[in-house]
Amino acid sequence: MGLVAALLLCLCFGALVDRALFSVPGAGWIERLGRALLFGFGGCGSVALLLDAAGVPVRSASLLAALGLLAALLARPALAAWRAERGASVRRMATAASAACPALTRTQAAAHAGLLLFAALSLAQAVVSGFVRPAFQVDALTRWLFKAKVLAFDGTLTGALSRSPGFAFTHQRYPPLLPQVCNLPALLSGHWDERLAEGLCAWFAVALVAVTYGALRRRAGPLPAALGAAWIASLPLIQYLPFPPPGSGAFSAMADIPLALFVTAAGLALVDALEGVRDRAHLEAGLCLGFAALTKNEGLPLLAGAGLALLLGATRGRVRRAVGVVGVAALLYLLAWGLISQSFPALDEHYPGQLKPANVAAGLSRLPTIALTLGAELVSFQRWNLTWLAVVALLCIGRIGRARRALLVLLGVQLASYVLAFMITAWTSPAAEAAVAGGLADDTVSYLMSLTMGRLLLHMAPLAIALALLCAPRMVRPVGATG
Amino acid sequence: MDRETAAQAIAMLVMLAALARWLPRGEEGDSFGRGDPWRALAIDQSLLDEPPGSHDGAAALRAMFRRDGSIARWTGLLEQVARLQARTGDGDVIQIRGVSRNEFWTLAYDLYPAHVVGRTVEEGGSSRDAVLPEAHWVLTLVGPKATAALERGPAPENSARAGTTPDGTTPAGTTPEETGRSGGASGESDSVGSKHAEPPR
Repeated sequence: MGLVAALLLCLCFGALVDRALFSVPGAGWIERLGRALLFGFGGCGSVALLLDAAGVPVRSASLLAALGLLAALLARPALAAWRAERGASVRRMATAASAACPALTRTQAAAHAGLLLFAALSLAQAVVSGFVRPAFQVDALTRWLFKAKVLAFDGTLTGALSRSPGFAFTHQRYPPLLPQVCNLPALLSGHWDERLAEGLCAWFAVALVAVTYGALRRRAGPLPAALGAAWIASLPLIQYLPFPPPGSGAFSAMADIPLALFVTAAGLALVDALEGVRDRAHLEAGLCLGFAALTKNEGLPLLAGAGLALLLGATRGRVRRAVGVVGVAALLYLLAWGLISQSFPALDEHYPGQLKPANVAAGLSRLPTIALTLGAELVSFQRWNLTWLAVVALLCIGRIGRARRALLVLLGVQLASYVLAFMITAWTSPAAEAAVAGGLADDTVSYLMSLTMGRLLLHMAPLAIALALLCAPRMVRPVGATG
Repeated sequence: MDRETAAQAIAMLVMLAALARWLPRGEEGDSFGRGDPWRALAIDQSLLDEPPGSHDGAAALRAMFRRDGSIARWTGLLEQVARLQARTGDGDVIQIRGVSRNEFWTLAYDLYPAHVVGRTVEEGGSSRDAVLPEAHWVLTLVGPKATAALERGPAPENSARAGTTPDGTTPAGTTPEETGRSGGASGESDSVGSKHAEPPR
């Protein structure tokens, strides 16, 4: 029951946030569901983080009171938006949006349904696995679920867990939005249950697929949208592969899929913002970027990427837009985690502290190894099927407009930040040293890359797939078109 | 081939590649990863078929990716963890001996809100480390088969839970002093007194 209650809470709160703050003309029920989960996970997690940062213990009473207060504030604009949706202007926008969704022939409709069914079955496998499997990935147990368990017992992450050197292995400065979300079943049921906490994680993948499907449907049509949904849902690293260790799958209580959700949502909102197709898309992008930064450290470089994308992609008000979007994200991050985390011990994986010219220069010698490993990962059929080859091929034959080129910049900055991290990292571990000594890896960085490259690319893969399908030539000829 | 047809061909290939993974499993090392989704389903099915209280599935999953992973080792550890979870709580200190760093960290999660202490193998620790005075319980991985043994430590028991065992009986025959004297774990006796303890696997 705790899991169902947590999902319902996120759905209701997220739907309210979505309805009150954002208007998405032409959105269908699948997109509405995905967006409700998106803002529910991000919103509930952020509110819990803000409570903790303010010194208020995260208990069911305090969290529900805070969410209730916000819901009361949002109820009026949500109601007004619902009423306005019946108004003429929004109906016009919805009609324009539905023009991108032409009627399908019977064959096309069958293909659309088949692809959606495949996506749903793939997601069902991940969701069931998430509930059935006990947590087993070392990172999931010692970081994300550990913090969720501490929250369930102590109601805060500002205690000994974050300050004692004995708990350094939990990565004390890592942003903990996911543990706050994983703690929701325990808060609502009154007891800690690892299966329920882990079971919630797979629903991030459901939101990811639904949000991407909706955005693609509005812009590229139902068939490419269904293809995108089936493609993303059936990615081996999301649906069923438990490796590379320490894993990444939707069922594994790792933060990689949640980050992929927020990255994808932010990127798709940026496209809407740059093309001016709906109101407040900038705010949505900023919020999603903030959620991403609160989910993993890897979400922080996105802020720079988004700022650059706006500077290069916007046709007017470039600086204002970039500062606005990045400012919203940075403010949310700082208030909810960034400021209090400064008092926690920094680890050897504290990359900003190692970002020095001398380290970068020394890391240049690692570039060939990094490029080779990256290349091998991109063409690995076992991990990606044909994903990256197909993305590149679709981009090559597609038309990349100004706004969509900005997304390429965003993805490029993100990838560059990962390469830079591998160049400057001083990471090592007994396992890495044993692997090097045993001839299983050339050096500790090669070992690190073998563990993490797949997970890092997973952060970007759904957005890259969406971008490729947005840019691809029209795959379906509209009904009635000739020639 | 025009661009539209090329896009359609690429889309077809993407979906065919995804469907190819559902083909029957190929030989070991199959670079197309055929049968991987079925393998995942089989793991889930075996977990669903497990009898209540069994730790075999969780142990198999935890052992899957560890270089020092062994299902028997994790089964023994998880059985002792379950026993400890039933009788420890906030403020209790559990010393863990003879485990690797990753195992220590994982057990720290399993046993929270009890606090774990001890030296890992990577830090020079072993199953023969001296028992720490603050330990309420001592969990040791010993012997050639790496079985897990549980002893009561020298620290006074928390009164709220004093004298209880998972099956509700009162432990007898073991005093903190006795176990404290044992120093390095013998591994032959399960701590709470052989009357109440199941032998580690």
